[in-house]
Amino acid sequence: MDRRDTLKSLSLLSAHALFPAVWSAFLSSCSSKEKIEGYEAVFFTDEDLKAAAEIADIIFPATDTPSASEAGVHIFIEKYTMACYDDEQQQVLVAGLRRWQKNVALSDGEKAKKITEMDRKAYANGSDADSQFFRSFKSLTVLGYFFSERGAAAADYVPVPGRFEGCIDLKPGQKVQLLNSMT
Amino acid sequence: MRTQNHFDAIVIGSGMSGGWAAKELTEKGLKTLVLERGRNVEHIKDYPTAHTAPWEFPYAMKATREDRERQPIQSTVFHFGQSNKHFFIDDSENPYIQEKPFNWIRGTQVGGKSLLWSRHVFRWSDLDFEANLKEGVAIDWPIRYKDIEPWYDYVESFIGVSGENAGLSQLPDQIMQPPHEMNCVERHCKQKINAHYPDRHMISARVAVLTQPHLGRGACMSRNMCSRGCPYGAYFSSNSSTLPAAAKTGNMTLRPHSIVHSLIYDKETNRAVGVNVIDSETMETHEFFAEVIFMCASTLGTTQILMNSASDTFPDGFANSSGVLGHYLMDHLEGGFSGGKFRGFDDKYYYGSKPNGMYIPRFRNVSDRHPDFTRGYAFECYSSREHWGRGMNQAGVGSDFKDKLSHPGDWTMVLVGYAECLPYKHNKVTLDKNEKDKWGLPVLSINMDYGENENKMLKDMMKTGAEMLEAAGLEEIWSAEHKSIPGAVIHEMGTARMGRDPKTSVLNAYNQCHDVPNVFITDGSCMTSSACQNPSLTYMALTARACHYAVEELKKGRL
Repeated sequence: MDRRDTLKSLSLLSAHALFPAVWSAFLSSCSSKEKIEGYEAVFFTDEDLKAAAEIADIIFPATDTPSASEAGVHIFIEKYTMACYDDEQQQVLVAGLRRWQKNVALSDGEKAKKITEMDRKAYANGSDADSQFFRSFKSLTVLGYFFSERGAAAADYVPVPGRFEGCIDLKPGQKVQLLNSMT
Repeated sequence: MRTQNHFDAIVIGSGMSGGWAAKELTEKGLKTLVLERGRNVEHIKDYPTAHTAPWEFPYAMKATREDRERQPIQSTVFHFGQSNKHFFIDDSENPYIQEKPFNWIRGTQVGGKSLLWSRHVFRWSDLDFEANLKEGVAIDWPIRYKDIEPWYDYVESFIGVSGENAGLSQLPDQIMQPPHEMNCVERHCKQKINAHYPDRHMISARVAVLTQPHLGRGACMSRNMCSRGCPYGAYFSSNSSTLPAAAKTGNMTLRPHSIVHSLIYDKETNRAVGVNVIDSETMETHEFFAEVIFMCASTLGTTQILMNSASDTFPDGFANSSGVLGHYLMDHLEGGFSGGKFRGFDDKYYYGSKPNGMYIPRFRNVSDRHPDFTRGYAFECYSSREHWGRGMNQAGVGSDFKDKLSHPGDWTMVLVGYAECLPYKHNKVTLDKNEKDKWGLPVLSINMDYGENENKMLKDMMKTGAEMLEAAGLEEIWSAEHKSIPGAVIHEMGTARMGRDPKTSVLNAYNQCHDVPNVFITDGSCMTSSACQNPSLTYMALTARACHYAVEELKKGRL
């Protein structure tokens, strides 16, 4: 069974049945391109999933740390939307992804500009559909990224500090600490 | 003739109070049956998520729709999620009626909510024990600080507490290990607030978490994962501490999956001779017998059992000749949030996460008299640097934004108020005549709301919180009501209160039923008032004290 078939059969299981450690290990063994092409969307359409990866990567592009889609954020967003969101939240998110798909002809620069504008409006308390969508989508992007094993590389992951030091010097460039509790 | 169903003592419930009753009674040589409604949870072995990494959880640890449908009440708790949902009750199988909104949070397993608590432990003082009498509110407590002080000493010495003593009359000093260190903003605020308001003190909160090894348990590893169960035993739970001590005596029989239906009353001797139990797995019923019974099934759990144990002698509920059973329900009011940012200390940080913040003990109506309200409130104070999570709520996209979230953000401080709730007769629970649960037990109907005194304190908390942050030099200060729904603070108290007069109370000064001398109630239902301090330490001290008394009485042949 090749990877694509494995993913297909995995996606038939309910999300609860997936042993999370196995799942994340599997994801981290794939490149981002394979993940988009190989992961069979369950709740989204393939086009929705592609749109999610595209927007997430404009929010969190690859730098010295992985991009959002390299960390599997688009897949997280699909799973989270399906399992955790109520009907109305699902509708807002999916409708936003569908609207985004109309921008297929735009250049990368134009897309980035569009997202920057959407972000500005959304966090100035915009009440239009795109603002509602974007607040929801971006919060899931940030959440999914820092909760992923590859995304955690953007922070200083410390599973067992072993002690508490209340007041220490912050070294230049020192990253934010990330505990298993995500604080 | 004693059969295998006969014991010296029965303890109903294995949480904060039940664990202490089990430890004390077994250590005093009594063969003790501990009945727990839920499943068994063994220390370390049954903490399945204690070492789980964030990415090993689905859904970023958050509750799913399915979780929220199964546990609509439990999932309102702020830290409820994939890492700890197994320690909360299944609401769908355990219904109750909300005459007014009431979040009944239950941890139904061996250890109860001692696995989930916030671990804050503060002593009460005579300011609290004397308040009802002085103000003519409800009834007088039958005890004073001097009665419970040695038992606070006793309990603290066993459970292990860390924090800061401050020599305050309203918050007596405790037996403690050194606190976790303050961060630099906490140090700064502590000094500034006290300089500006001499009667207000910001101290390191006192918590049942070890900063040094203690009685075979390890010190805190600063992981901030307490609610998953601590594999180091660094925080006090029944599972890590009292139940192992009870088991060590060889005198404890622990029986999970045991739902207590009712007490068995013998009219001739005026004693509860045993309990009727439904095995939640087999649905079989069992009778167990003992000389003395300790009820520690949680405030409302205990009251539900008493109400379901009505008889010819006690038509309105067991040991309820006073008629007050079910009345005077209290829970602390949470609200009056204030917060702000601290500009400065940009080059300072901390390492790890500590299990406590700071605490501002009650300062209202301590030495003066507030014109608007009686009693008082305390603040829990939390300060940290913003982390990656701020990115969910602020503008920004692209590599700079990502880089920004990879580094610590601004210093923030948030104050959360916790106010005393007065005992009102109309805040009550009753058994519903019509609705029954899957075990055939009538469900509880809850009717509670906060009163004028609590609402006035809420307004004052917003004001004083913000003014203290201002005095400490914080900026962008905000405040908000965020008034809690009754029950949500999980400090439900009252409904089988202690008192001096059998006509107006269920229990005497030793938590013994006035009406039936071999039944003791030592969970939160015994409380005559609520103070504003977290109550678990007081339940534990009252339990140890009542056990000591009960065993002495048993020896004298009086039970």
